[in-house]
Amino acid sequence: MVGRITFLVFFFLSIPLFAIELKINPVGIKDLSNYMVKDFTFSEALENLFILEDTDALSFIYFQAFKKDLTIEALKEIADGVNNKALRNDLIFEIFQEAKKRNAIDEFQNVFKEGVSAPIKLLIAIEKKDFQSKFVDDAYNAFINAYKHALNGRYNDAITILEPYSNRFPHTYVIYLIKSNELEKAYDYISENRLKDSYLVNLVKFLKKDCTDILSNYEYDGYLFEILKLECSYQNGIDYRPPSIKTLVPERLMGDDFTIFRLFKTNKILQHEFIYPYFLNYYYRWKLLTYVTFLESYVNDIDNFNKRLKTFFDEYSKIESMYNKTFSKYELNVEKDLRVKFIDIKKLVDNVKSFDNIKSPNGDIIDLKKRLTKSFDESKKQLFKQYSLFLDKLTYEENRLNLEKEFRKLDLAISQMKQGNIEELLRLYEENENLLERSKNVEVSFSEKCLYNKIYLLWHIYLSEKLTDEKTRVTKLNELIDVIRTFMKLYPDSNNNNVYLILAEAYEHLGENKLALEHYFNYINKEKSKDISARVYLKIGDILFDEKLYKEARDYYYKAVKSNDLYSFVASYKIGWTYYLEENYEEALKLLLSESILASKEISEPLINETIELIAKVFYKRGRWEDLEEYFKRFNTFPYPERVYKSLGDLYVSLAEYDKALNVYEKGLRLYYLNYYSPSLLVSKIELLTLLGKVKDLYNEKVRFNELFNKDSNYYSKFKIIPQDYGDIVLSSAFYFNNEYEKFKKTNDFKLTEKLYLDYLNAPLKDKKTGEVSFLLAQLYYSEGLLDKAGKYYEDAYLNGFKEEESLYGHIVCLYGLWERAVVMGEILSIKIETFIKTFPSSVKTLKMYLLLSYINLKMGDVEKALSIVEDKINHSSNEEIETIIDFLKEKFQIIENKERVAQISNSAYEKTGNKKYLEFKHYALFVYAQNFETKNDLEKAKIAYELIVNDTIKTAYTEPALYNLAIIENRMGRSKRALELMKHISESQLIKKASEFVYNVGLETNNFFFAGEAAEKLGVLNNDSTMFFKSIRLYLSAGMNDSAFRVISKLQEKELEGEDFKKLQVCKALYSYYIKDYATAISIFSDIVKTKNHKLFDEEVINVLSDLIKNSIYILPDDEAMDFIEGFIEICSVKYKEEGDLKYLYNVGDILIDLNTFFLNSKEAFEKGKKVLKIVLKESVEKERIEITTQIIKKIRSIGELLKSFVVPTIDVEKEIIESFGL
Amino acid sequence: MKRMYILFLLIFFYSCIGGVDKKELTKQVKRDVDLTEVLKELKEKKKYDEILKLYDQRKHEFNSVDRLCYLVLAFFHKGEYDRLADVIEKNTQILKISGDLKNEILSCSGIAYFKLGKLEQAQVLLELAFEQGLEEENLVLYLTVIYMKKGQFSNAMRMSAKLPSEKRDFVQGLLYLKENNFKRAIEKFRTIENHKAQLYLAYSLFMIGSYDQAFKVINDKKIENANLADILKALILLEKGEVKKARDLLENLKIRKDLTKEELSAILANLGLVEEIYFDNKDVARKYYENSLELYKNEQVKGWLNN
Repeated sequence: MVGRITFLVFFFLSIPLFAIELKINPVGIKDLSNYMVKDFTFSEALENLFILEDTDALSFIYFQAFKKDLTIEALKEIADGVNNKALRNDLIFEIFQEAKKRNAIDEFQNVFKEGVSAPIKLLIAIEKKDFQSKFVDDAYNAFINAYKHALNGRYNDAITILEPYSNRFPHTYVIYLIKSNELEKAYDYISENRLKDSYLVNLVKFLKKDCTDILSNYEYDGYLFEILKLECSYQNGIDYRPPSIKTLVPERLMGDDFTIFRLFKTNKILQHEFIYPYFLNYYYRWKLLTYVTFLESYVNDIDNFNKRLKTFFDEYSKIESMYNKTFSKYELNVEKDLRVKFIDIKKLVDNVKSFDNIKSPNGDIIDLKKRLTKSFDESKKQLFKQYSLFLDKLTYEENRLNLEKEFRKLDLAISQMKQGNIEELLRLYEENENLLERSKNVEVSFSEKCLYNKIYLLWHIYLSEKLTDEKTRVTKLNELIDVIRTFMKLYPDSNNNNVYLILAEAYEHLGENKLALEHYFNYINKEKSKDISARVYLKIGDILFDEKLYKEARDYYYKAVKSNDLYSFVASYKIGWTYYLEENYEEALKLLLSESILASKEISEPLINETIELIAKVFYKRGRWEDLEEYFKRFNTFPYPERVYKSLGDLYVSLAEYDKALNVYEKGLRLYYLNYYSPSLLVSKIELLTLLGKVKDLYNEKVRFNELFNKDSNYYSKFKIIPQDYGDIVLSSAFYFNNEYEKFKKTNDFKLTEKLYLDYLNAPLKDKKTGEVSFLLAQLYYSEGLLDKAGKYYEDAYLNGFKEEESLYGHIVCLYGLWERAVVMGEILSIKIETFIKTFPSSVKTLKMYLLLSYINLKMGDVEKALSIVEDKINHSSNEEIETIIDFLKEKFQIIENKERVAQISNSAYEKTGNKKYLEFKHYALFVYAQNFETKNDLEKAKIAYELIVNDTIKTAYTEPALYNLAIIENRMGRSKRALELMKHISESQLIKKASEFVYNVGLETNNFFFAGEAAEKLGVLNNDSTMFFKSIRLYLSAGMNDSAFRVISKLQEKELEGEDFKKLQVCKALYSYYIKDYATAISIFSDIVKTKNHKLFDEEVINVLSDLIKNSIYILPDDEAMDFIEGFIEICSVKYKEEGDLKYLYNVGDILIDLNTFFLNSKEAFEKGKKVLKIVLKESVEKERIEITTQIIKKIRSIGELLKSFVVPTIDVEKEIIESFGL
Repeated sequence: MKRMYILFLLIFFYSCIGGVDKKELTKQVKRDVDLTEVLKELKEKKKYDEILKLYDQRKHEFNSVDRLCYLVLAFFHKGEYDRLADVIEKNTQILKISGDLKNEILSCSGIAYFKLGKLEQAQVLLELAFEQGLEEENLVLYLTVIYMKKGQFSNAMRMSAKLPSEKRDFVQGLLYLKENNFKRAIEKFRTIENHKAQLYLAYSLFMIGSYDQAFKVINDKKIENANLADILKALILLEKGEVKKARDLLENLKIRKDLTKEELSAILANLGLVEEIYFDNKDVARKYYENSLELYKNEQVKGWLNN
């Protein structure tokens, strides 16, 4: 909605904007007539204009009527004919608009030349977008500048420029403010300057969304404002109906009727099918009623009425004047009739005038109204009829004039035709033939002119065709000669004498020099009264010259010189030749070096060259070039001495007189260094040296050339030009010294090369190889390590489109070097790299650029960006490129803090390629990542990272270390079971030992005997350590893994152990037998062991097992063996108690004495002894708080019927409890 | 009261002048009726002291069952159970009254007899009240206790079943405890969260030898200031072989002021037992046993001394 409104407003504003601001105020009649011509017939429009009684109407209506059909020049004529200055200006503006419509602004400019006002000039500049135009008025300069910025959408700049002149262009200023969204400022400006355009004020309010303010203002403010209110209401959800047109229009029309009218014309929305016709009808009615009302009101005030009438009469006299002026132009017979009818209207006014006699207000007003209406109607009818007739006449006259116009146009075209191409000539020829035909029909005698045109065109067609076929050429020439002959017959008195000239030239072309001479002379005779063209004399001179009649020829050449026109120089040159050929060198030089010969401004360059060559030839013929200087001193006005030296030098070269040539060139250069053509001398010298192969001299001269003609030279400061060959010479020498520098690395060569390159770049040359030279210069600087300079010139090379990729790369390389030295900001380097990547996405260097960009971001601390670049690249790269990327990551790994991201990226690479080494790198990254967490004691995160490695189905070198570390963490976190499970999976030789030790220790600590047993077995294998095997057996047995224990035992048995190890194995076997309930074997083995009395073989578990065995299975042994066993056991327990002080052993003694007292001779004594031992142990166990022994003894004592006293427990009085609990 | 006093004066004055006619009789009836109403009003307002005061002033007027009922209720609420029993025994028709007061009279009388230790009478009256459909919680509890005291375990269980769930389980737990049925007692006490129930739960667990569980209940529920709990704790420690800790705990318990004689006696006996078994100090043990027996006649301890 807002968009639509804004569009409407700008559409509306754009039309009158410039006109209003440039003070080309449209007068009301213009709008009305424009409208009428558009929507009514011409006659109706005219009729209506009469009704409106506007003095400017007639002239204007004709302007409008013919506007579409007339040329800009014709329209200008009409505008010039208007006396009213305001209207004239307005018409000029109209013409400008018309020209704009036709896209013929150039034509408009040609027609009006300087005769237009400054505002129109400004409009032209705007139309042509000619922002270089300068105006006297600074405000206009500002305006065109601001417009330039506005066109580019830079409204802020436009505002800044227009601000000082805002009072001159308030509307444009406000529009620019609105466009740049400076609504507050726009609003303030409008308020402060009290712009009358209330619609604009409200528009700004509307854009500021200040709808409430707009809605609250219900005063009438133009119909657009009502539309605006409607929009606001829509936005605010209010049902608002604009007031009817009846209540709006009349009041407003009194003040600013045409503004409203214009709005209706330009605004589609307002052209509502109801409003529009209603408004128009109303408008005319209103005009008529105004007159009536006027009469009604003024009869009451005679004085005012008279005054008003006088104004009316003045206006009528103006109409009359205008009327006369317009019609006189067409010299029509009906003028009288029109005049009569015009006077009818005047009579009407006379009727009104008769009211002058009314002295009282008692007149019959109603009757007056009727009479007025009737008069108007009649006048209108008559006028309409008369104008119809007028238009018919006008049509006939127009046709005739148009034909004439066509002739003139064609004639003009033919006469203006110079070097027309063959197609153009043929077209003109055909048109001429056609017109020749048509002119006969309308009895217009253009035939002579047409036939002449035919000859003229045929001759030029012949010349343009440049026929090579001799036969055709001769045929064509003969045809032409025939036509000319016909012309001569038909129009013997014709003034078109040019036909003789064409005939003479035709014969000359046929090689008929005599006939040609004859007709040249005929021509001269016919044209006696006129000046003969020098060209004709030259032609005659040339024919005589060819006949070697030098003296005669010279006479005609002198005639040509006398005629003092364009051919005088040619003639003089040819005279020079006649002297030269007659070996009269002094005369030749006198003529050729004279001031007059080169006075003409129209001399062509080839002729000058030829003249100079001729002079050189003369000197050569004379054989003394040293005299040149003397002659030039004498003829010191001769402008080209250096060119003569050059030409003479060239002559010597062509004759292989090289030394002379070199001397001539050098002399000319020394003498005339500051002459325009002096560079050509050195160029020729250089060329000659090249020819002679004198390399050293050659490059010295080339360097000299640069010194003499570079931008800092005197030559340049004088002529402000650089010689044509400068570029090639300087560059070739630069390449030479550059090459020398590369070979020998001499500082002098470097400096010379640098200077040559710089001078070249500095020189204002056309088609300069800026890019290439910048590139070479950059390379030169780079080889010297001058990175800043190298970078600058690489950039220049890039900007100039030379080896763009390489140049930009070179620039980046230099910037990188500078960045590393902290001379350049990383952001700048990044931008350049990004440019490279965008510009050369498929370059082989692009990947390198990506990585460099990543690295820079890394160094700048934007790790995420750095890694995103890499990750993104991996997703769009080949396998080969991915390898490079991963290598980059590996290289930078230490400085990348976010190892997890590195792992992710590596994973992407792995998923894309399936290459396991990327997975390995991923694991490495994760491993380091986890270790970092471990260092920070963040075990949870470390654990997650390790798990990521471990959970990958594909294993790498980091899988088991991760597994190991993960297990350690799990153990640290109290999950020892999980830790053991994990450790169990480690199979790698380097870790297996550590893992087994871990499992062994943790298994023992946490009573996970199975794990510990397995680990012990592994350690036994790894270390070939029998102790660990024994431990594993014991642990397996503790875990109930008897089979495993047996497996190890079997393994050890194979080893055939001896000594302590053998005994230990026996103990293990005995324990195994015990646990598999093979008590007999157990007892048997133990029996043997006990006999050894090696108490060190008996640890706590063995003692317990022995104790149990003795108590339950001793009976299977013979008594004496049993007794030995028991005693042995008691002895071992006693020794161990003495050694270790552990009450358990003593308890075992007491326990066995009590339980097996029957084996002793004095069983009672043994029993009592046992009891006594237990009591001692009990007391000690209480003291030492050996709870398990205390309870064991108590249990034991109770089991033998001792200590039946139980602890005293207080009783509970249940009744009392109930009564107390419930308060009974 | 003031109005009544004036009424008495008027009667007195009237009698002095010796005139008794129909009007006078009507007034007499009216005055009688008024006393009953007064008693009723006082009962409703629970002004039992006023009833008793009135009874002291106008004993002779408490000649009807109605008025005596109010008197019985006043005696009950003021805890004068002997006087209540006296009134009832002299006016047995009170127990046969009908109307609103009947249940109240029966239950109050029953409880009064219970308080007087007259379980038979109490049981009869309370059962009468119970038969009248009165199922008040107190009535059920009294009857339960009566049955318990009389060793009627099943009656007690049946009656206690009428209590709300938590109270029922607590009472029934105690009933099982009394019967030494600790397993059932544990089931009942487990469902109740209060400290007493938890204490009895720990006690029951101890009694069945679940020392660890008992120890856990005592520790977890933090049964505060319960001497029995601490004694149990010490005994559990002893059972678990932590003799020193148990002895220290008993030593500390021994000096507490809020111990019952039985509790202190048990503590001393157990200390003696510790000395005897673990430290073989028979003399010290004997001393403890003697002191224990002085406080509470425990047959178990007595036996130890004699042996």
